[in-house]
Amino acid sequence: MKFTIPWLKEHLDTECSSEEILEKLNMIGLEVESFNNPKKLYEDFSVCEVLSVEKHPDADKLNKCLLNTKNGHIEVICGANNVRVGMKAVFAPVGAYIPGLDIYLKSTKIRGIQSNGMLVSEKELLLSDEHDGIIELDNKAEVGLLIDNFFDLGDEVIEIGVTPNRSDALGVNGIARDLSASGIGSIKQSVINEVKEKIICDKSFFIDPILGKEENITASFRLIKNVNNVESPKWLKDRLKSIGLRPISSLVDITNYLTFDSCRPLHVFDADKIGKDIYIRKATSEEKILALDDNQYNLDTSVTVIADEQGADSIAGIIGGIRTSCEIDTKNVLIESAIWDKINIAKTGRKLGIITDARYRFERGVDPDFITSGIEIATKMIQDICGGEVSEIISLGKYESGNKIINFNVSEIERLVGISVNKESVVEILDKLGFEVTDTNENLAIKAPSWRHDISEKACIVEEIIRIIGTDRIQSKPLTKNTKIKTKILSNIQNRRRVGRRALASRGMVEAITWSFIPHNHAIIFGGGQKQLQLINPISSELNTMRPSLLPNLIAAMKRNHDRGLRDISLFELGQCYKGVNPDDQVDNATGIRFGNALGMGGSGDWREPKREYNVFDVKEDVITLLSVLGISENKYQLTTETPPWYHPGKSGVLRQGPKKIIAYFGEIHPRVTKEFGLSGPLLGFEVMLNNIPDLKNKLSLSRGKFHLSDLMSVSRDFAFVVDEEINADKLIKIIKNIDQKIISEVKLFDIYRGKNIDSNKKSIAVEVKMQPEKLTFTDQEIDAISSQIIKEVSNSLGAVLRS
Amino acid sequence: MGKIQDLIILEKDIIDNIEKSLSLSDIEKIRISSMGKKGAVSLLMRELGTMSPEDKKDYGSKLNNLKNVINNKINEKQTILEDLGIEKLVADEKVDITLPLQKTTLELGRIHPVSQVMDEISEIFSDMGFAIAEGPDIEDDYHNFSALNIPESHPARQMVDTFYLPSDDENKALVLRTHTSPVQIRTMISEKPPIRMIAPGRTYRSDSDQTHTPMFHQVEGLVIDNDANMGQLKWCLEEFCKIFFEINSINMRFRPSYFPFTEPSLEVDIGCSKVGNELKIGGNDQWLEVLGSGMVHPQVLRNVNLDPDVYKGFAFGMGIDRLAMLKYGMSDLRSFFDADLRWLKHYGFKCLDIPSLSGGLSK
Repeated sequence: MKFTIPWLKEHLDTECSSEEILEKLNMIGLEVESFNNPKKLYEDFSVCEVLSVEKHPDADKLNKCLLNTKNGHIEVICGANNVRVGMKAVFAPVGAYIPGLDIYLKSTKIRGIQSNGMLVSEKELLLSDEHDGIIELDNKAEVGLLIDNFFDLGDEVIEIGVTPNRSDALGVNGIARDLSASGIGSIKQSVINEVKEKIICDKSFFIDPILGKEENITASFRLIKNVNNVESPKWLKDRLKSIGLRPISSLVDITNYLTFDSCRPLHVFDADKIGKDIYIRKATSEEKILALDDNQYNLDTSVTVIADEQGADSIAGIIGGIRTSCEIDTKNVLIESAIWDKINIAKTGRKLGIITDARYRFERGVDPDFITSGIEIATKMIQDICGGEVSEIISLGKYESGNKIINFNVSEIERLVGISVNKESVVEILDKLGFEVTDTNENLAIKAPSWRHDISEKACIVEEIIRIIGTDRIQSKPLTKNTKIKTKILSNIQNRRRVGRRALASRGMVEAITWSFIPHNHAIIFGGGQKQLQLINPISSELNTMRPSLLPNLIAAMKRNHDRGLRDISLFELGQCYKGVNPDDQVDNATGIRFGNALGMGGSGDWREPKREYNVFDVKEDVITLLSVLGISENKYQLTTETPPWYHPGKSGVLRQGPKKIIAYFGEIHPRVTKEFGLSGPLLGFEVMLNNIPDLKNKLSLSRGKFHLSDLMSVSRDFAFVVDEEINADKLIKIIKNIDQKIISEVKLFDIYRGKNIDSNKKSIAVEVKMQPEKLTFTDQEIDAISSQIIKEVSNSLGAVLRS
Repeated sequence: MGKIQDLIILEKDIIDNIEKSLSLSDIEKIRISSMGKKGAVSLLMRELGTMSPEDKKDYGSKLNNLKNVINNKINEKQTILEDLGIEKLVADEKVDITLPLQKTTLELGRIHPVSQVMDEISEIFSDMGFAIAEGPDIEDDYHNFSALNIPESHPARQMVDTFYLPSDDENKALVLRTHTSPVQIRTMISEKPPIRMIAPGRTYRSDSDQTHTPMFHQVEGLVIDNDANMGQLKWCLEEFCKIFFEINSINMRFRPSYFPFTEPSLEVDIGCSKVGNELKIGGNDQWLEVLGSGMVHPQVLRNVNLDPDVYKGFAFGMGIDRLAMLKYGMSDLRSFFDADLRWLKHYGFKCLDIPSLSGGLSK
């Protein structure tokens, strides 16, 4: 909502400065969004006299000019052809902002000669398009005077953001009322004179009775004949222009003016174009209207229209139609002033996608007690500007105000705000805001004024009081200590996210946060893309489907980084994926990808270590480390190989708890998927399903148990077995461990060998087995016995042969 | 007494040899030739048995003395030679200590600034006794709008641009939550007052420019208690801003405003100063809007079956990304979600930069 200071002062008698008004607007809840003070914009520019003009020695078209300015004698270089000795011009000093050039002026050398300012043209000051030389002022202009003495720079313009509850502040009069209540001046009561009717209205008006019952509507009309529609007077045009409206003709401009002046949208029909019988009714399903915005709208039975025998003349409360609109040659005019059903206006406006100043006000609520006053004010203005003879005002429908009496005790202010305000002050404030207040001793019986549609209960009254007396009156009061002692604030999943995030970062991965929605084809690749997870109104087709996995965004991000020339990339995200639309279908995953050389993990390729690309075991380590940090040891899950199709089937694994609960996937991304994203080379990824991680049991005791240390030395023996290629190492290790879990404390695989002396479909697995005696040191015989058993068990179970 | 004389000569001889020796092997040879089984001193010891008691006493003590002197001398020389050996070894061993090292994973990894700021916020509010609550991103119309006193066709619905999802149930439109406020409703339904909670999380609006992205982060706060009022609300937010921005005093302005789910409502600005082209928190050159707040609207309380004449409380909500931008000086919100490694490396935090009230939120 824009208005100018002089406009405000037509409604408000105040001595306060613009700055005080701005400050107060903010503090009463009418937030100032911008303030344009043209005087401020032009305060650097002043009158100067040109004392001498000399040709620039090195440039034909430039002159060296000596000026008499308010800052003394100053030399500038000027290229204008109209500069001459003795002329009065406009001087811009160094440091001034030149709006037409969008620069701050600096002291510069022009072809070797210092220029300490500038003589400006009208275009450079955005005063006009005139750029044929510099501004020449009247010879009598006094050096040093600011240019607002010579140019009409326009008024100070304030723009406030009006919250949806405050439709009354969508008129300058309402803003003035609020300011006066808060101590900024006093309201000027305007006298509304009823104009005596001279003619009879020859139109008939009807309202569909069902509509009249179902929707809260009142509409009034007046006919004015023999007007002379002309261009609006300058003051009116300037006022509209100052708030960004384009003047059209007096009749139209007056309606626009009152929309902003009094939050009273009006519509004017050309009475010669509109039919004799005028109906307020619902549109039919085939009805169309060519509206004033030059768009044709297809209406339906939910839309309220004003119509004549030929069809809809306007979409009620939203926009008029071209067929019956007023033009400069309009002679007879029908004014409409109404209240329309808020909800219907909002629905219609949204459905048809029409945003107008009228709709904006009607859906928020205009003052039902100002319908005929609005017509009277408009009539007066039309008669003043265009002449004409007026008819009586004809009204249809009966608007019912929803404002009820609220019983209010001033203690409610203390209860909600913590400060006490006495009854007298409360009554005074409410009175100034136009509320009807009756003191019933105990309580106040309060009724909100007709222009307030947002006052429904006690808390609303508290808000009115606090915004007018000032929120700076609220005293800070510490929260009391929470007596409910909690040992832990974060939930399990919150803790997993917090710790997991730092665990992954500690492994050299960089955390990204990416959109929750992804391209539909990406969702399909990763097992998602159901219809129910596709946005109805996505911002673009690239962001239209809720993600089933975090991998697609990370891979796409990896590609973007790769395209920027970055090579070795490790990204992770800890965020939500969606399996469906129910709250339980939203799960948290910790997902990472790695690509390129294994930085910080022994493969960076420097003088200590050769280059090595990330491989599946790096992501396996990521997953196991993450789980271990979250308190889940390796014996809590099983490793199998049935990974989903976006993983390389031979280079990926699943960690699961039982057949159903999947804790993590990891592996090389399937080369087909990698290719789909425009990449090549091994791309590694993992997904840890944080919700599926088993909760740690609440331990009864925090004690870690007795520390037991064996005095007996352990013994290690190495074995190398030749086995079939398909045999998994894991199997071999388990067989050895299971021989005697008490004695065999560790089985470390230290080598895998294929090649010379080993058959082509075989491999050699070398392990170091650590044996821990329990009571007595092992004898050689005992060690031999265990060793033989190891060899026997592995050979029998796996068909292995001890490598010779 | 020639024997005594011989001892003196022998001692001098051996000591001379020890002093002249240049290596540990020389010393070893001397030790064997003097103190070894067949060494000179050992042979003389054997002779003691053949001596008369008087001779034995005198000669024996001299011989013992000689043994001690030689042993000491050998040990002494041995130590010197060993040290010399180490010195020489060290003098020969030299690396180019300037050879560069690669960064370790601890230095390579980064935490996204939004995660970091969320941890900071949790740290501050958990100290004030707030729990951390959560709710789903895909919400129904009821939790996101109706229960929060934003009925259908209310102009407040046009304050935000909502993403919609298809719904089987005509009466239960599905949306991506436009704010974290639905968590207020979920919490008040599932828990009994007193309530103190914050709810950080992702929120969505169909909007995109330099300061708006279709997805962003908010944190909601809710207190329901007998003594909750706007004074406490003010204190709570002042404390939060001071601790979060890590300055001792901060100018704050509480402006009346409108939110459908609070009444009275306040918007909160903090004072900033311009240093060069950068905006710094603190000072009072200009106001910066950082959050919205107010007393929970009586209708919202009724919607969750709390009697507004008995229960009351306050709520607040703020943009986490914006807080991060203000605190750590990022200018473009869109880069937050672009996963540009260069940006993440610059603005991200290291894994061990763990915010805490005892150790400081940032360093």
